[in-house]
Amino acid sequence: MPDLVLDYHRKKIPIDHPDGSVTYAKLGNIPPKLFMRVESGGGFVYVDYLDGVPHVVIVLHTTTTSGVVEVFLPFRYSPPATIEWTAKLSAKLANVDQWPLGLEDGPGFRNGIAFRQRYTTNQIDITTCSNGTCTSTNTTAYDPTVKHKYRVEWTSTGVNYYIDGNLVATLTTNVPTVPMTPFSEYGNSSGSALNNVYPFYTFGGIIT
Amino acid sequence: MIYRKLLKVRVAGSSDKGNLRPAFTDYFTEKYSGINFVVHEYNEREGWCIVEVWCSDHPVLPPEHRKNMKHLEELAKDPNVIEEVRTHPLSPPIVGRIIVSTPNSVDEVSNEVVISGNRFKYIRKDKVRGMDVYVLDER
Repeated sequence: MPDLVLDYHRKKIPIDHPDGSVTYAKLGNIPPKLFMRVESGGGFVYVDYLDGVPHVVIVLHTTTTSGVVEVFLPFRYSPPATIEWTAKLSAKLANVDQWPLGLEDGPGFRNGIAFRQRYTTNQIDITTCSNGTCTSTNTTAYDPTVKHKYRVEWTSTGVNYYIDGNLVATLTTNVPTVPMTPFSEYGNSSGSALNNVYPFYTFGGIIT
Repeated sequence: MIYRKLLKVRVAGSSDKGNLRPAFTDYFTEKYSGINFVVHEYNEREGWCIVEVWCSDHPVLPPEHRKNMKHLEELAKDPNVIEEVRTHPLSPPIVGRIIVSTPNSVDEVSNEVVISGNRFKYIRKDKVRGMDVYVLDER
């Protein structure tokens, strides 16, 4: 297996580890191409099986009342690329967002592609951003506590967004063309700790 | 301004194969650049879906991506469009937004953002991952 070489640090955020280090998840059962990096605003990850497939499980610490935990592939990709990811929340909670699949080039979402499951509803909104200007649209409701498969087909002229094998939307404006890193994120802005009991299952990678 | 239209469209692929889609998807991004769409309903057995197409003519978009109702009416003549639909229960109040995520500067008195040297009025602020973003166009 190759070493996990990281050429890119996405965010500088407080890391909840005694030594101040970033967590790098080396996931034993997952093929080398799917190594993930984890930056933590207060949580931890482990590997568990969901329907027979190894997933990264993200858990937010009892002390975390506001923060995110993200996993992402340690490589950048350019269009054309197809990325597929599965994700499942263990419960619908107020003020907890999940980003089951996204890509971005750096902090601030200046260039990006994403699915976002909003905490206020079951609705998923999808976004493209190019040089700081974004297009966003709302899709039909999906229950985040059921495992879903998310896929983006990214070309230089548009992005096709699939959920569970069905195309849900296509965006052709503000389509990013710079190299970007795939990520999946679990975020809590509720002001209350999630008490280590609401894990977020996530796993995915590049198809082409 | 956001322009929108509901269309009944033929489908291609299948859910089993993981590629169920409106039949115009394969050429959509090239032929209808500047127009976006959301799928509200599939009827795979009967071979159709209900699609809401939308676009914006906001000046923050590059000129080639500023589209209006005239362009949606052209799209409605696409051979894979079966017919126009007047309403659909899943058509949302807000189908789309144009947003600035990382402006060069913000004037909260005049509700304006500056991006790439141009100044635009924003309708409202929103939050994404704890960060302020500015909605320029929506509905």
